[in-house]
Amino acid sequence: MIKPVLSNRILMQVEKPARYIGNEVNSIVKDPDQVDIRFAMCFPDVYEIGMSHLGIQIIYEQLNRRKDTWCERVYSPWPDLSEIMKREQIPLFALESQSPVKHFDFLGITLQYELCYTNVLQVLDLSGIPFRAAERSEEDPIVMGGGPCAYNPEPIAPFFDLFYIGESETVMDALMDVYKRARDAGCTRRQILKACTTVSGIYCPLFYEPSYHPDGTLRSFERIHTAGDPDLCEEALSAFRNEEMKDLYERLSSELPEKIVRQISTTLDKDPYPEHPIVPFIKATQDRVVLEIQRGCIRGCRFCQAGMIYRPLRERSLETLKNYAMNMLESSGYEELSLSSLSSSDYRNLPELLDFLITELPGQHVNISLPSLRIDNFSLDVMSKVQDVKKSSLTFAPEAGTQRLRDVINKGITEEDILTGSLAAFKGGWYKVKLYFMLGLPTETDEDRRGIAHLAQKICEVYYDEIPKEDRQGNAVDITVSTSFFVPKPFTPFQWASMQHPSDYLDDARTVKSEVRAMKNQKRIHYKYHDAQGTELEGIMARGDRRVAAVIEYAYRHGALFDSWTDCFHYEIWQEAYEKCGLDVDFYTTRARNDDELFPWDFIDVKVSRQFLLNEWHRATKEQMITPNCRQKCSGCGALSAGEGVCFESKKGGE
Amino acid sequence: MRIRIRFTKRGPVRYVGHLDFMRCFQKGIKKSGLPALYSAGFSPHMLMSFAAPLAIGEETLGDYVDVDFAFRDPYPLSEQEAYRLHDMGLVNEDLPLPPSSAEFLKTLGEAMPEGVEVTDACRVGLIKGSKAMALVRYADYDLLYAPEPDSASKPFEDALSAVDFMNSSTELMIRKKTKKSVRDVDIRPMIVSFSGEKDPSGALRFSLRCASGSSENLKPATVMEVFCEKAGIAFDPYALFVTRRELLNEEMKTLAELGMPF
Repeated sequence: MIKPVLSNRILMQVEKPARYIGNEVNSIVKDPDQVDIRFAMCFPDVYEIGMSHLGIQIIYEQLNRRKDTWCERVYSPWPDLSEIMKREQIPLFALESQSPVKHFDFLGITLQYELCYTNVLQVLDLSGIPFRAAERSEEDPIVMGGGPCAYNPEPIAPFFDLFYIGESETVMDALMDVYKRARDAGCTRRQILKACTTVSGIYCPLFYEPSYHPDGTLRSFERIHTAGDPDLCEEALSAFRNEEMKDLYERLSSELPEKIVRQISTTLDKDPYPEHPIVPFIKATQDRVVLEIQRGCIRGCRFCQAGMIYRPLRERSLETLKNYAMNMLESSGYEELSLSSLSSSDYRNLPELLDFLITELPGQHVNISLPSLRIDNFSLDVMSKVQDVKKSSLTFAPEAGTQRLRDVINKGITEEDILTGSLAAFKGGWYKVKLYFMLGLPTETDEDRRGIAHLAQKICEVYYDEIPKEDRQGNAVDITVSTSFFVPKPFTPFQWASMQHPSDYLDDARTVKSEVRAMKNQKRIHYKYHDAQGTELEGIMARGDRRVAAVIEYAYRHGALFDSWTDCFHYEIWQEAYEKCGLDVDFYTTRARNDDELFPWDFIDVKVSRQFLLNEWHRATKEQMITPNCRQKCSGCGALSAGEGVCFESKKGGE
Repeated sequence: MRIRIRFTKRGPVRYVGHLDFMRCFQKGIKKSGLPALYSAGFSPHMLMSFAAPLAIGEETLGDYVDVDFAFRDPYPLSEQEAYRLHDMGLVNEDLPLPPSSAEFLKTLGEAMPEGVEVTDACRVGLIKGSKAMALVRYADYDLLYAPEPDSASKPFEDALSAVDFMNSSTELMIRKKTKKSVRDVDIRPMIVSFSGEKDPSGALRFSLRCASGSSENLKPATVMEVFCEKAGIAFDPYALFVTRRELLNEEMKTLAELGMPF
């Protein structure tokens, strides 16, 4: 049992003190004297959110399998504790050992959404680590970022020593080995970082410099010259020029990679998986066992970053998943299990897997929470087995209100799919439907916006026209329409798209709202939309360059924190930050990009080619053509070079 | 078969609130593989009920939870028990025999988080009004009051005389504020026994037996607040460490004493 580092006085003053005490079932405690590498793995948000994230659990499992490494967890202290820690100068600590992050070898930070960037600075601040990588000393941990937002690392590049581009299952071990080798050989911090860049997929921002055109766009992104570098010049490296250090010398003197290549696992079935998941004391947002059935997606929706950066689709085998499910439930005592993946209906063994989970899973009383499935007779049958039809609702994500716009975004769902799916569900006793849309998509017009209301109305009509009154059991159809605002993301066909001003977004939402109100069954349709201010910030961060870093630092220093929490988001701090740092918001948001503009993230090779993305952008906006999914026809995106996955399934044509 | 489990909650886990703690305990039972019974429906829940909630920050050496297991009850079943089993589609004679209580405690203990030990298990009948929660009338507490040196305005030399004063008082009025009203309450009848001593470190240690449960409930912190007032020292709620030692029924028997061995 590790004693909490926070005093009783502090723990009793803060909300949910159990966030900070560690000691959870299945958390891993090692003897610090018996390990060589201390790794603090951080999710820069509150404990309940961070504990729900599968990626960290995979890394935790993977690193702790190494005898020489102890991986621990770190989450953002909630503002109540954050203030106390700053006032009383208590350094941020890792949960397992309750010891300061400052003394670790690595601080890994997963970047799952752009609005966590001020939380990254909070973690550095409370840890006592300088914000800027260039200002860090030999004693500071190596701060490494990863996750989806690392695919455009530039807005936060100055705060990180390294970025890990790709899946942890691939080169994390190699990276730890190189780090240990370089450190134990007496390398300086800068030399260690240089050695790490010889591991594929590792990006060290200190060694790259952007330059800009007078109009503000990126002119070049170049590697620095190491010849004159005090740590990396020939003279500095002479100490390593001997037989024993040969391997290290080669790393230190090698050329920096021009492109950073995303690392893709081709052995998912053999990779480490958290079969003994940590069981939080307090209820996490996703308080259940998570089974990642597949990685990647065949669909190719043009707005979706995950659909591109996790290509190609790779499935886990049925046997592997059955074993994981049993082991995880047994080792944790959890009574709920959820499946995780993009477009889960595309998992080919889904019927067998669900059948096993529902009927065969040894040890009963396990609730299965289903991912959003394509609504058809199969999924309705499964749903009726695991949830109360009367209480549950159907979910559709048409994303756009008209077929024209759905074709533009390549969302392969038709109005007919939605209406037949709804009808089947209504016949099965469901009467609640949730619909998700985006506003602000490229080429969108008022007709598309009004189309959202019309689609909702048509679903109402299916219910009232097709379900006889005596079969409705007194229930009125209940439709919830939610819209969010579209944010163009790097490495998607829409990375060239322009955004709108926040006020225009709200006008669009009002267009939807008034059209909903004009519908015959408007009382049965509930419309919800998000605030647009966070959208603008997300847009700046998503496609920003290194000049945005100053804005993030300014905003953090002036009180911005937990920006993804509506209650904590202060638009006025950010407006002040844009102004003080001279940031032209429109340059990042509303500006139209030329086809040949060099983007800040173009030095990363995600294995989906820029040419493919550009073709898709043109097919969307000029030709208005849909692109078949990976199982129908290969569109030559480039992911085939990963050597595994859907690209190598025999093509049967059609669905 | 309903089994009453006596458990501890000590160390860091004391910062886990009651609702979350119940969930952890349930996961522990599930993890242990012991065959707990569940309610019917789409979201079945384990048939378990805790005797008394414990506030965040408080430890216990002897709290109780009753859990129903699919074991063959070695004692003759009451009509109610037989009926309930029948409702679940179970027949007592067809169920496996329970392990010895020692084995039961070992299996369960290994699945629990650190700081949670299961110290006792007994069989309890399903008689009306026998639910652990309904039985609790009194609780025993150990209290440690250890303010930081600089916050103690006055040394504790004479403070303990306030204990004698409180014991000899016939009433101890406090002002109780709720959202809606303010009323005066006499807590003296709720205190069964109260004694204190100074420990070598200079902190104060108390033993308290007081009313606890759904009909009348006295918080240890309230007693300490009154004590500090009578002793003329400032009350610092964060300097108070509460350890519950035992839960008792109206005859001042422990809840474990009401069960039968298995």
